[in-house]
Amino acid sequence: MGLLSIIRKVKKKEKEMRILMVGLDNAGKTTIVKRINGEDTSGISPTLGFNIKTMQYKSFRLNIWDVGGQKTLRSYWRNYYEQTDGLVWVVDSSDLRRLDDCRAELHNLLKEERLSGASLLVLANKQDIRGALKPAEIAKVLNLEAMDNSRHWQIVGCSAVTGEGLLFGFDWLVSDIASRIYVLE
Amino acid sequence: MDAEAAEAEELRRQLANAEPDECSVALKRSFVLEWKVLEALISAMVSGDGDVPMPEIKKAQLIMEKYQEQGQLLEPYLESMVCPLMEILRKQASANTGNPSLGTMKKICSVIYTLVTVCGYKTVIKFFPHHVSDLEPAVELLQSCHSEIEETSILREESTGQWETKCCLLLWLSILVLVPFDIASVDSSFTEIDLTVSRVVPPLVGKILTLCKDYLASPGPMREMAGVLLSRLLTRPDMPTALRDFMTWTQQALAAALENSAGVFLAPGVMGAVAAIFKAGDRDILYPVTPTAWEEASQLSKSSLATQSLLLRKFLVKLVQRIGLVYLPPRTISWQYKAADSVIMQNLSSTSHQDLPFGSSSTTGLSHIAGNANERGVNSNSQAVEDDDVDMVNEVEDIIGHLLTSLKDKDTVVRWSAAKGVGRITGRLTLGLADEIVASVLELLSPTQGDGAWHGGCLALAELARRGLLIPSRLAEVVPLIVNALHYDVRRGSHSIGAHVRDAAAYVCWAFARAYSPSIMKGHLIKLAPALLTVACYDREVNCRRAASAAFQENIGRQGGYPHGIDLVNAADYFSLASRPNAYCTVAVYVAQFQEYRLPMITELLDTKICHWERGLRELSAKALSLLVRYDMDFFGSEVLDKLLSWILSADLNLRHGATLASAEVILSLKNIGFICSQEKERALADIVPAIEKARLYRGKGGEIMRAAVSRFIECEALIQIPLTTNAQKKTILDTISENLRHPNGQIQDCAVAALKAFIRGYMVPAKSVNIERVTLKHLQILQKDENPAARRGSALAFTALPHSFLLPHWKEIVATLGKAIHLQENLDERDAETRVNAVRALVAVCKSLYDAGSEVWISSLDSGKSPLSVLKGQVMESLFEALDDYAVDNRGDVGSWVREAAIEGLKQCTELLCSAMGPSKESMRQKGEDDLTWFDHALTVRLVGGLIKQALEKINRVRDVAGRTLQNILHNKLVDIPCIPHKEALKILIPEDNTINWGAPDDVFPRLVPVLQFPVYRMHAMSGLVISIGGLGDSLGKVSLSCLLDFLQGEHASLGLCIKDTDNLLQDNSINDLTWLGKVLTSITETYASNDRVIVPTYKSIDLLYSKRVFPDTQAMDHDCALRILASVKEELHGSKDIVKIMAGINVLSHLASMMGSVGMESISQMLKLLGHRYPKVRKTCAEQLYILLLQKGEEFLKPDELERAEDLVSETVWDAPVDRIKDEREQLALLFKIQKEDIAVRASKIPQGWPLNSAAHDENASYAALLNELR
Repeated sequence: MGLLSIIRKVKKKEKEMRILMVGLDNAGKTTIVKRINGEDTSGISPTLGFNIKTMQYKSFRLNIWDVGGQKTLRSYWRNYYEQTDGLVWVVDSSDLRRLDDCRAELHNLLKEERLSGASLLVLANKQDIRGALKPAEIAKVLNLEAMDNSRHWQIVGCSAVTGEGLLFGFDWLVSDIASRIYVLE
Repeated sequence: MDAEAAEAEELRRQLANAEPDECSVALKRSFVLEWKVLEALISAMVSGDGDVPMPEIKKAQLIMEKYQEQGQLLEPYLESMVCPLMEILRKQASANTGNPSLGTMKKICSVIYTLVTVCGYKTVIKFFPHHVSDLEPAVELLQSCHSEIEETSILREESTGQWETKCCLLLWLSILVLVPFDIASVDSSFTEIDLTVSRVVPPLVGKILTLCKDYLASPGPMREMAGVLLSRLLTRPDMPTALRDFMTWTQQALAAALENSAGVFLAPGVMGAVAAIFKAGDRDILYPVTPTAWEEASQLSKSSLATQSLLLRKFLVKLVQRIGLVYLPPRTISWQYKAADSVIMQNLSSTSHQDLPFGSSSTTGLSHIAGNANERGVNSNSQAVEDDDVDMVNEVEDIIGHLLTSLKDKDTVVRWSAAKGVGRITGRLTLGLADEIVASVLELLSPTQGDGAWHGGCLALAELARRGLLIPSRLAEVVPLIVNALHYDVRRGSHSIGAHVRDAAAYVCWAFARAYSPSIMKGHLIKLAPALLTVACYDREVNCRRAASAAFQENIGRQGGYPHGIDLVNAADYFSLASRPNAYCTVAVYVAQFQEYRLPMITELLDTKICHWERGLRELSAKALSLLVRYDMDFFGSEVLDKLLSWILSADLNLRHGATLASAEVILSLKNIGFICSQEKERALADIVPAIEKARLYRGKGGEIMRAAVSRFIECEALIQIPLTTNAQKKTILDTISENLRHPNGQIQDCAVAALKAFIRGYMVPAKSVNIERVTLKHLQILQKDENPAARRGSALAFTALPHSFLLPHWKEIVATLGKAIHLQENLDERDAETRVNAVRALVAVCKSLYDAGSEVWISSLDSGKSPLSVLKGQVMESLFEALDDYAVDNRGDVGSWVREAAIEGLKQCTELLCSAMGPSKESMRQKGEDDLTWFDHALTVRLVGGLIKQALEKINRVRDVAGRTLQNILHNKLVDIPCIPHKEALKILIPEDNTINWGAPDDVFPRLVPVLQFPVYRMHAMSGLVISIGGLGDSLGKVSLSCLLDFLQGEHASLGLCIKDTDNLLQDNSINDLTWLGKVLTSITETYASNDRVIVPTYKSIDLLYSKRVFPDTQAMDHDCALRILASVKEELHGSKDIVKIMAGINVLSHLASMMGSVGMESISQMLKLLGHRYPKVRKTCAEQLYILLLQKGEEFLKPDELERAEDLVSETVWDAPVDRIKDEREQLALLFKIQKEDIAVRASKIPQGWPLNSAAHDENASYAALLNELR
C-alpha cells in the first residue's frame, strides 16, 4: 500500500470532493465562492492567482478550487493526490456578446480526457441583472444537450449577489458526485 | 439537531421551487453499462429459486468484478440485487431446516460474495434481511454447511461456492444477532431452562461461538467474517458472560497457537476478532476484559509469530490503540487547533442578514467565540483544569510505547495503522502529554533512525496535523525536520532508498497546507517552498516529483501570497514533471530564474545530484547545472567551479565522475555567455587532465566511467580553448584521447572521437607536419597493422574527426586503407564487424572533409592525376557497394547488417556529394575539354537504387527500415536532384514521400516494393532480396512476401501500376504477363550466388514454392534452358553437401524439375535416384517419397504401365532408411527401369568429405542418425 492509496482511502472516508470553478473572466466565480463561504462579497477585484477553499456541505467536505483568469488551466486539472470530481462553469448571463466565446471555451475544456468523469454544473450567474438570459436560453446557446450521453450536467440560474439558486446548484452537484463516489446515505 | 432539520426544510423548499424532478432524473443516469444483463440474471434466479446454470453466474461475476476499483458505481443497484437473492436464501433456510438444498444456495452466495468483494461487506450487509425468526434457521444452515466435507480448492475458478456460502451466512448472522431482544428469549432450545438465570450462555449463542472459533483458525476469508460476527454478538449488552468466556478461550487458543504450526492462521484470526470486538464495543462493556486483552497483546507482540506475520502485527496495532481508547475517556480537548470549515448551508441561509461581520470569522486565525460553529484557533486557557482530571492508567504509557515502536515497523500498513492510532490516542490526552508524544514522533526523524522510522514519523505528523493535534507553536521545530525528510536519500549498496519517505514528507506539507491558516503558515512556507520545488524538479522518482508539486500547489492555493506562486504552479505541474529530462532541463531552469529558489536549486544539484549513484542522473545533473549558469555567472565562475574542481580527484567514484562532467559543462556554458576566466583558473583547468592521468583514475572499477567523462571534459576544454601552456600538457591530453580511442567500449570511443575533433580544431590548427604525423599517420598505421581489433576500430573512427588539413597530405593512402578495412578478410579470426562499420563511416566523413576543403582541392588533380572527386566516384563508391554486400556472421548473428546499415547511410551521403559536386565540376571540366565525363551515370544509379531496393526487401526489419527511408530520400531529395535514375518518376509513385510508412513492417513494405519487378533493370536486385524473405525462416514474413509476389505475378499489380506512365518505354516489349524473365532471374541468382548457402537455400525454397503455387511450369515462366541451368546448380550445390536443409530444398526442386519432359526430366530423376543412395537416411526417405509422388502423377510419361507398377512397388515397399548396403539392389533395379546407367547413380566413396568415418556410415545406422542430429542442431 503506497501513500497514494492511503490518501485515496482517507478521501473516501472523509467524504471529500474536489470542485473546480471555471469560466470566462468577470463571470463572478470568486463572488460565488465568497458568497457560499460567507465572506464579504463587496469589492472583489479580478482574481490573479487561484484559491482553494474548504467548505462543508451536508456530510461532505468540498475543496473548491477557484481558478482565476488563468490562461493555462491544465495545471489544476489533477495533481498527484487527487482528480477533479466536479466542474462548475460560471456564465455571465448578461454578457451576451461573449456567449460564443464562452461556448467555445467550455467545449474546449470538456474535451480534456482527464476531466471526462467530472460532473458539470453550469451556473447562469447574474440573473438579478435585467436583460440577463434565462438558464434554458443559455443552455441552448452553449449547446449543452450535445453531451447528454457523455456527461452528467445541470444548468441553474443564480445570482451571486442575492445568493439565489446557489444552494440548488451545489446540492445537485454534490448529490451527483456523491452518487458516483460515495454511497448516498 | 434543530439546525439540521431547519437546513433540510430550507433545502426542501428550494427544491420545490425549482423545476421539479430535474434533479432526480439526472441522478438516475447510470454508470453501470451491463445493468440489463445483471438484472436479467437476478430475475432468472428469483424465478428459478436460485437455480440457474453455472456459466451464467460466472458471467455475472465477471461483470461485477470489473467494478472492483470503483465499487461505489454498483452501489445504487445493490438493493435490487441483494434483497431478492437473500429472500430466496431466507425462504430455503426457514422452509427446509432439515436438509437444505445446498446446491442452489451456493450459487446465490457466490453472487452475493462477489458483491462483497467489490463493494465491501459493510455496504452489502445493509441489504440483508433481519427478522428475528431467521436467526435459528440461519445457525442451522451454517452448521449443516460446516459439517459438509470440504472438497474444494480455494482458487476462485474452481470454487463450488462452499466457502462463499459460509462467508455469506456468517455475514448474515452478524446482522441477525443484532436483534433487539434478549437472545435467550429467541432461543427455542432454551425455553425449558430457567430464563432468570441470565448468567448462562444460551445454547444458540454457544453454537455460534463454536462455529466461529473453528473458523478463526481457517486460512480463508471465513476467518475475517467470523471476527465480524463475533464482534457484533459479543458486544451485545446481554453477553458479558459470553464475552468473558470468549476472552478466556482466546488466552488458551493463543497459548496453543504459539506452540504449534497452525498458529500461523489462528493467531491473526483471534487477534483480528478481538480487535473487531474492541472496535464495536462500548467502553463499559469492554472495560472488564481489557486487562486480559492487553496481556494477550503485549505477550503476542513479543513473540516470533508477530515478527513473521504482517497481518498479526497490523491487528495488534489496531487492538492496542483501541485498548488505549478504552482506558482514556473521550474528552473535548480545548487545546486542539481547529481550522474551521465554513458550512455552505449556513452561509447561504443567512443571506437575509447581509450586515453580518463576515471578515471576523474568516480571516483572523485566532478567536475564541465559544459555541460558534466557525470556532478556530488555539484555546489553552483551561489547561490547568485539564491536567487535574488526568486519570492515567499505567498501561497507557506502554500502549503509547507500542504504537510509537510500530511507527518504525517494516511494513507500510502497520506504520499507517500506528500513525492513525497515535492520532486517536493523542486526541484524548492533555496538552502536556500530547506534546510529549509529538516530541517522541519528532525523535523518529533523526539521522540515527532507519527509513521506516522516518516514513512512520512523517505519517504520524501528517495525521496529528490533520486532527489539529500538532499545535502551531511546534511548527518551528517540525518544519526543518520535514525539509530534511524531503531530501531523505540513503545509500544502500549500489542504490539508495528513501523515495517513500520523500513522498510522505510531501504529504505532510500537503496536510499542513490544509490544516493551518495562512497567518500561521506564513513564516514556515518560506522554508518549505524551496525544498518542495527542488524535490519537484530534481527528484529521481516521478511520484516524488509529482507529490512535491501537488503539495506546493496546495500551499499556494490555500496559503496564497507567496512570490511567483502561480507562475511556479503552472510551470511545475503534474504533466510537465512526468519526464525527468524535462523536469531537469526545462522546469528547473524556469524555477531558478526566481532569486528565492536559485541557491537551493544549485545547492541541491551540487550536493546530492552530481554525486548520485545513478550514472544517467549524474550526467543529467551536469547538464542541468550548466543550464543554470546564465542566471549568475560570477557565482558559477568562482564558488561553484572551485567546488567542482576540488572534487575531481575525489576518492568517491560517483563524485569525481559527476564533478568532471559538471565542470566540463559549466566551463562551456560560462564561455558561451561571455564569462572570462582568470588566468589562474585557466591554469588550473589545463592541469585537470594531466592530474587525473597522474592519479591513475582510469584504472580499476569506474575507470571506464571516468574515461568517458574525461573525454567530454577535453572536448569542452578545447571548444573554449583553455590555453595549454606546455607541450607536455598537449601531449598528455592527446595521449589520453588516443588511449580512449583504443578502448574496447564503443561508447568511450565515441566520446574520445568527439574530444579528438574538438582538440584538433582547438589546438592543432593550422596543421604542422609533426602533428599530422602524430595523428594521421599514427592512426593509419594502427588501422593497417595493429592486431588489437579495438584499436583498429578506434583508429578507423578517428578519421571521422579529422579536418581536411590533416587528411590532404595522405588522403589517397587513407582512402585505400579504409577501403581495405571495409573489405571482408578471408581469415575468420581477423574479421571485425565494428571496424568495418567504423571504416564505412570514416570513409564517408573523409570524403566530406575533402569536399569541404573547396573545389580547388576537390576536383583538381593533386599530385598524380586523380582528384578526390574521381576517387569518390570510383574507389569509394566501390567500397561502399562492397559494404552493402556484407553478410558476415559471427556468434552474435548477422553482424554484417551493421555494416550494411552504415553503407546505406554512406551511399546516400556520397551520392549527395557526387551530385552537388557536379555543378562546379562541370564548369571546370568543360574548360579542360572533358565534357563527356559524367560523374553520375546509369550504371552507378542502377547499382545504388537496386542495392537499396534489395536491402529494403530482405528479412531484417531494421535494415529494411534504413534502406526504405534512404530510398525515399534519394528519390525525393530536397538538396540536390539526383539524375540518371531509371524510371525515377514511376518509382516516386511507388515510393511516395510519406513519413508514416513503417519500413520495418512487412505488410507495409512488400506491397509497395514488389511491383518494382516490372522494371527489368531492377529485377535482379529486387528478386535477390525477395527470395531471402520468401525462403527465409520467418513464417509471417515469408507468407507476406510470397503473397505479394504472387499478387504481382497474377497481374494485379500490373493493373494497379497502369497509371504509371513510363517514359523509357521499356515496358512495351516486355509485357508483365510474359513471365519468362522470372525463371531467368532466378537462374542467374543461383549462378551468381553459387555455393553461397545464405542465398541458395532460400532461392531453392522460393523455386519450390513457386512450383507448388503453379507459377511454374503452368505459366511457361521456366523455359528449358533455365531449367537445365537450375538443375546444374542443384547438382553442383548438393555435391558433397552436409547441410540437410539445403539437401531437402534441393530434392524439392529436383522433384519439380523431374516432371518436365525431355533431358531435364531424365537428368533430374537420375539425380534423385542418386540421392536414394545418400548417406543420410532421412534424405533417402524424403527422396523416395518425392519420387513416389512423381510416379503417381507423371509416371506414365516415363514408363510403360508394367514398368510403372514395378517402379511404384519398389519405391513404396523398400525401407529406404535402412542401411545403404541393403537398399543397393532396389536402387539398381530402379535405375534399370528408368534406363539409367548404373555408374550415373553410383555414390562414390570419394564424395564423402574428409573426416567422415566411412565404414561406420555403412554399418552403423545409429551413428549416421547421431551425425544427422548434429547437423540439424
